[in-house]
Amino acid sequence: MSFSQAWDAGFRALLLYVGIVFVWLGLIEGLFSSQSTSVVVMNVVAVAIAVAFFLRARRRAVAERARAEAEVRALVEEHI
Amino acid sequence: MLQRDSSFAKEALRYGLIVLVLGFIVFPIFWMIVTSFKPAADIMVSPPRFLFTPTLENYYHAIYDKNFLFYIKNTLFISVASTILVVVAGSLAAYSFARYNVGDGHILFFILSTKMFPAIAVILPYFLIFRDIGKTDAGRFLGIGLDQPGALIISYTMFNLPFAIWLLVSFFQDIPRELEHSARLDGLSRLKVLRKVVFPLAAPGIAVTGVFTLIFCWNEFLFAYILTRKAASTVTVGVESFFTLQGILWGPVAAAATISVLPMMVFVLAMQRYMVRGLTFGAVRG
Repeated sequence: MSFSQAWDAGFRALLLYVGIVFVWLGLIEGLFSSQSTSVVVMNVVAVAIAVAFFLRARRRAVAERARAEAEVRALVEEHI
Repeated sequence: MLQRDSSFAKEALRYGLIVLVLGFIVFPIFWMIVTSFKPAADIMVSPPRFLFTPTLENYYHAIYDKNFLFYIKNTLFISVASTILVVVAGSLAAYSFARYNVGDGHILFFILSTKMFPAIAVILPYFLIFRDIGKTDAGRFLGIGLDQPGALIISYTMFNLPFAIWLLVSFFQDIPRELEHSARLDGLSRLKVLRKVVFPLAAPGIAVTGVFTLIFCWNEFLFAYILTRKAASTVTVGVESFFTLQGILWGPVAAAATISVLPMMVFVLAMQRYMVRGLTFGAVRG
C-alpha cells in the first residue's frame, strides 16, 4: 500500500468515524441509560468500523498491486 | 549498510515532511469537527480538552435556532445554477478559442486578465449595478438585485468563467481535429459534431471544471457578504452570523462550518477518481 493510498484510506476512515458519531448521538444514544457508557461503546464501535474500513482498503490495494505486477510479468514473459 | 541507512533517513525525512504539510491542511478540519461536538464548557479552555462527552447541542442550535439548512438550500441553488452556466458558456467559448483561434489569442489573454485583480476591486461596481437593476421591474421579475439569488449567480458566473475557459481550452486542444473532420464527412452538422464527438471526448475535462467551479461557488464569501442580507445568504455568510454582539458562539460556529463543509467533502471524495482522470486527461501527448 503506497503512502498516498494509506492517507486517502485514513482520511475516509476518519470521515466514517465522524459519520458514526453523528448517527450514534442522534439516534442511538437515547437507548442507553448512562451517557458515559454510550460514549465508550460509541467510540469502540466507531474505531472498530474505521479500522476495519482501513484494513479492507489496505487489502484491496495490496491485491490490486499484486494483480498489476502479475500482468506486467506476464507481458514481459510473453515479449521475451 | 551505510548507504541503506542514508536512503532510509532520506525516505523518513521525505514522508515526515509530507505528513507535516498534510497535517497543516487536515488539522484545522479535525479541530473544527472536534469543537462542533464539544459542550460549551469544554471549548475555550486551556490546555485544550480532547476527552469530553460529545453532544449534538451545537448542531441543534445551528440547525433549529439559526435555521442553517436555509443557507444550505440557498447555497446549493446558487452554486449549481452558476456552475451550469459556467460549464455551458465556458465549453462553447473554450471550443471556439481552441478550434478557431478567435481573437488570435488576444481575447483569451484578456479573459484571463479579469482574474488578475482581486474580487474586492469589483465589488463596489457590482453592488451599485445590482442595486439599480433590482429596482427595475425586469430585475425584480428575474430575481437580479441585492439580496436576491440572481445577483450571486451572475457574479459567480462572471468570476469563474475565465478560469473555466482557460482550463477547458487545453482539453479541447487535445482532441484530434481529424475526428471532427471525419464526422463532418459523415454528414454531421457543426453542432452535432460538437454534441456527439467533441463534448463526449472532453467529458472528463468538463466534469473537472464543473467540480472546481462548484467548489469555488460553495466556498465564496466576499460577494455573498456584500450582495446579500438575509433572503439569499449562503453558508459562508451563515457561519459569520454566529459572530454576535454578545461574543462568538464557537460551538455553533464549528457545527455550522462542519455542516457546510461536509456536503462538498463527500461530493469531492465521490468525484475524486473522475477529477484525477480529468486533470491527467491529455497529459501525455503522443
